[in-house]
Amino acid sequence: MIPTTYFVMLSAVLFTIGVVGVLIRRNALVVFMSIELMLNSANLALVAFAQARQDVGGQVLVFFVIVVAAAEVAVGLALLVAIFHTKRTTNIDEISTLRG
Amino acid sequence: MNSFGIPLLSIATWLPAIGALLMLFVRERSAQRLVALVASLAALVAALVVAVLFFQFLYVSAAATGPQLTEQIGWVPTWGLTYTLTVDGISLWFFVLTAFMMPFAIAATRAQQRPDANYALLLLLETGILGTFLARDLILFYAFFEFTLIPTALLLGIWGGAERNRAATKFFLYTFAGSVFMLLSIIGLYLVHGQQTGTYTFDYAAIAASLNGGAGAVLKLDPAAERLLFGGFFIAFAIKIALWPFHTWMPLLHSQTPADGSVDISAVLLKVIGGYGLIRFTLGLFPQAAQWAAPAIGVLAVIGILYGAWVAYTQQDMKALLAYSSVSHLSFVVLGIYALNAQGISGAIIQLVNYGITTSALFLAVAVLEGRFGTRRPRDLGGLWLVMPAFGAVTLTLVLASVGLPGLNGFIGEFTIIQGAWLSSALGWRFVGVAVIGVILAAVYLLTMFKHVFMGSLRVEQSNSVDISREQMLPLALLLIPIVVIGFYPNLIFDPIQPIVQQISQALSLAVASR
Amino acid sequence: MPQLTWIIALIPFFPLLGFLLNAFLIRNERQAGLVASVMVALSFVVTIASMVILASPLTGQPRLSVMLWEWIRIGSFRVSFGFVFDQLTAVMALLITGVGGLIHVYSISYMRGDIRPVRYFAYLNLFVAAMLILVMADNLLLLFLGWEGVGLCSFLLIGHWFERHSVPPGIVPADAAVKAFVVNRVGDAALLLAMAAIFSRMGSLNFFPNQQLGVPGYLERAGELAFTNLDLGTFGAIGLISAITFLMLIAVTGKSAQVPLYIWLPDAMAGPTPVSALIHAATMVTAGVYLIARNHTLFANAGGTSGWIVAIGLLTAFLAATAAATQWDIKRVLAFSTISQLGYMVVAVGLGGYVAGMFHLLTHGLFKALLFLAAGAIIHGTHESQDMRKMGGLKDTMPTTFRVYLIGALALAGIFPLAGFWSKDEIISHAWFGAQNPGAAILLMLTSGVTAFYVGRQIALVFYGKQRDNTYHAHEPDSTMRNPLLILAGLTIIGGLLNIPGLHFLATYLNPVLEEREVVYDTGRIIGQVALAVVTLAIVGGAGYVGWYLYAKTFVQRIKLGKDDPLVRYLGDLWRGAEIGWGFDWFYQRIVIRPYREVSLFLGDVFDKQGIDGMLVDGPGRLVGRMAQSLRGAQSGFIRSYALMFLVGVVIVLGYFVFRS
Repeated sequence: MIPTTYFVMLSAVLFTIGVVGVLIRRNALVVFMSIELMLNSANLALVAFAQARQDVGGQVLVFFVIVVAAAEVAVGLALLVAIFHTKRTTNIDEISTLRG
Repeated sequence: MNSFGIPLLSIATWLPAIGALLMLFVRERSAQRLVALVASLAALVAALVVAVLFFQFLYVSAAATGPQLTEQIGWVPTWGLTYTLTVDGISLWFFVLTAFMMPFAIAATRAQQRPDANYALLLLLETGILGTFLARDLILFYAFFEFTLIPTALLLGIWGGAERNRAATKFFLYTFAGSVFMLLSIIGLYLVHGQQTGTYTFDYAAIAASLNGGAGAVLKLDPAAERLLFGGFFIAFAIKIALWPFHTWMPLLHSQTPADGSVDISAVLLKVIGGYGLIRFTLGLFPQAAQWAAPAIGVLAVIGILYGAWVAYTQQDMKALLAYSSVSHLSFVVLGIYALNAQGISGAIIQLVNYGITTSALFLAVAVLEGRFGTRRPRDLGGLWLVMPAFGAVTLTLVLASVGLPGLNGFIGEFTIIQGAWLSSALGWRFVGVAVIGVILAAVYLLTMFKHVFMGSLRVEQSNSVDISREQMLPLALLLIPIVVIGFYPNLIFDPIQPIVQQISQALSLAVASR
Repeated sequence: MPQLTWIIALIPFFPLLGFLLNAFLIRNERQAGLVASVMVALSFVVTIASMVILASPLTGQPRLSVMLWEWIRIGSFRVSFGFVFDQLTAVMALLITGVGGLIHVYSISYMRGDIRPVRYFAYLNLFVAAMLILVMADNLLLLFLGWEGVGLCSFLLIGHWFERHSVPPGIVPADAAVKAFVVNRVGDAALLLAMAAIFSRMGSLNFFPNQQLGVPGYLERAGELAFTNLDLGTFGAIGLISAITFLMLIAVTGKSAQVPLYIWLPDAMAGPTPVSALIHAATMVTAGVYLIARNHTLFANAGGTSGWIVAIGLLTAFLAATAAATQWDIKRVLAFSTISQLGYMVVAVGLGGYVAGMFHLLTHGLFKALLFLAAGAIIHGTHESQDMRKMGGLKDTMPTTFRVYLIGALALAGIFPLAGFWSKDEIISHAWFGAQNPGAAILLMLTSGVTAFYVGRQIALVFYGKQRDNTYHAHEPDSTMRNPLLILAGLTIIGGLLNIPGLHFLATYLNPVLEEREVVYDTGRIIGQVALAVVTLAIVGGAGYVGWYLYAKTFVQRIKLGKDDPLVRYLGDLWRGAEIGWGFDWFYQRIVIRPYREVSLFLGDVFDKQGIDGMLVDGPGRLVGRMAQSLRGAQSGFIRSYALMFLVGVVIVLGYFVFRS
């Protein structure tokens, strides 16, 4: 079997890429994709540990995460489309009216 | 309950609020004014009945602490909250003063827009102030105390002068900040009392009884705790009574009040609350801490006396002048309170009453001037006594009452406070020696103001200068009556308060002994 | 007879009634003057009646007293509103109502056609009432009511013509009125402290015991105060009684216009002349002397203060006399003269010569009132001039006025056998023999010389030579003004009989109250006193003649309106200094008033607005504002920075939990 460590490392790398993507990328869609990447990296870690511990609970949790991710994407994309209608841009730097 | 079974105190307190409520239904302007006046005058009648009953009890049955008329309903028993209204020697005259002065404020007000709201707010304010003097439950007191802030801030903010927002905000936040400390003290006192005696209550009489008895008291506070609790109450009332250096909200407020003088009268009564609170709470509950703090407070008071009079001398706005004058007069009151003896406290009480009447009358006089000539600057006026002989004479009498001329009310309070402070073990002759300079300075700024406005050559247009109308003269003349009567027969005020004042001063001297 | 003691309450009651009538009901000038005068006359009659009752053996008490009501009652602090009538009071009341009544009658004519005569008479009555309350009060607090009451009336009457921009010689009435009140207030503040001190030790402010109140009288217990001290910290300790008497001295300095608080009196001449006669010559200013006389038991026990009293009295007497010699305004001469003569009285009571002081108080009340009223006649007669440079030669055009004025002036100078001679001589003799203070006596004699000089000068300038200003036609006063003058002149001539050495009627009369040691007239004393009198007369006669001669003969050509006094050439700055009252006014203006104003402006605009309000009150507000401002930076609306903050926060929290275990 592939050692769990590799899975976890891959998960970490993917998570980091996702985080970096959220922080750096300006296009809202790409930010969403990065968020998805983070969520999926968490999924990968969960599956790996489920396999390692022979506990199916981890895989159940994955389903929860996928559902939440799907819901979040739905709401987020809807918001993004609404914003795009008004602001005609997907550049998140320009959506700053809710400032202090 | 009092002997008739009628809750007179509650009636007197809530009648104005009912009047305010009625404002919702009355549409016509003159009817609104009528309703407002009726409500406040009815409250006055109730207050006078209470006073008469009080006098009756005073001379019929002299209980140790003097007669009390109490009304009590449970409010939130599990927390020890009750709705308790009591009138005793200390609150009696402030209660009557408020009921007496608020009709003047209502009669004086001349709001052009939303007069119904104006009357309603004044009436609600009256309820708040009356409640403050009568409440005997600490939280109830706090509630009424805070409640008075809202109508005042609104009255100021809606109908005030150019900088009304700043004045209202500053007044509200400053006074509010002070009362937050008081709330902490109230809660602290509640907890300490509960821990030591097992009864958790906010009832003033119960707490005072527990603290009473010197060495044998049920509730013993250690000095640090007592001083902290004292401080919380003190800060709130010091700000309220505009003790130096907590006075700066006052000149701003008075310079921004509406020109008719109604809010000025209300503000005067608010300051009287400050004096009442100092006597009732800081002296009544924490005698040892009061002894400890008295010299320092005395210093602040003496500074205030001189400072207020000194700054008043060059004020160009007569209302600001009266505000600084108030600082000076009220500092005298504080000096009397912290003399911690019967003369000082009695002098302080009568001086608060005098202040309420005289300064309100002066504000009304300034309102007449501003209404007639459109200015509050003495330099713009001059020689008015020539064309307004009656008004000049009345204003001069008011000025002299404020200066403390013997024969008028101000002198009685002034001298009793001086006497009390000299005899005081906490203060003494050094404080008095400096404080009397205030007597000289008062003559300086008040007579100079009178001179600039009424003497010298006439500066304003002759056509505007007819002597004041009967309608404007009436309130001033009415106010002159107590000014003269109290000056010659102050025992009217002094007698009812003696039992409880003696009790407080005895507790204070016990506090020295048990230290 | 004892049942009638209550009538003493009528003495101040009548003038008070007159005030109320004139203030609220009467509108007619004639009625006002009549009512006012009648009220004072009634007071006078009751005073005489009270004196009769007092002297009657049926009374059996040393004094008449009536308590109207209890004024203040706070525990053991009890003060009555009551009157007392003893010999000292009687003498003062006679002066007040007698001379006051004459002045009221005089005013009826003098104030004819005035802009507000009814108010004038109301105030005048109020003044008499207040002054009577002062001398009849049975306790210090009520005395203080009268004390401040006369101060108030002074304000009202000096400022009677408040709308005028200036009156001769250039005073603003409104300013003079405020000045009088404020300067008096300084003394009043001191008296307040003295009262507090007396009560603190004696438990009472009553002069005499009062059974109804259950309070003792403090006068007879003055000795008890002798050993109490006030600790002044680094300044050591001061005897309480010294402190009290010193505070009273300050009060006297204000009310009786002594150095350094006399500055209000010369300016008080802005009021109508009868006011100057009544208030600033005969009565109000004498209140200070009365205060000391009434409290003589205190002063007898306070050795240290006596020195101060005498020093102030001497200084005032001399300086004021020199100032009087340099004035051009006819009333201002008399004003400074009053200050100077008050100095004599103060010296007298300071040296324990209470009878001498009271004697001079009475005679001075008579002849100074006479002088002022006569000056009023001159002012009216010369069409409102007050500058003596505009007068001259009036002895021919106003002969009666000249004669009465001369009588008053000679009495002032102290010429035998007029009243002033006797009373001044009494003081000087007491100083030399009674109090063993020859220095004071000599200084007083020199002052008498200066007094005679300015008297001679004034007589010469006003009455001799030729009329220098021809814009008016001098005329005598009418009978309503003339009769009081004649009566006062008559009294001045015979006034000395009151207390002639040997007979000493006044001393005997006042003895029950003042308890002074009888003067023992052995040969030494008689010779000494006669010698003193002769020397004084010589000085006075000489100086008076010189003063008259210089201005009636030598300089008479050089007196012109607008030009300086001829003596300025020889005395230069000394003359100018005296003319401005030795700089007290200037001092107060520069060192007191202007800095006071500057500090007031500073405190109001800078310290209060920017300092206390700006820093302490608005400060926290601004601090909160700035904190909010800086925190606001974090809410940039920038989604990416929010995300970064999330990340950092999560890392920290997780890291805490991970590393904790």
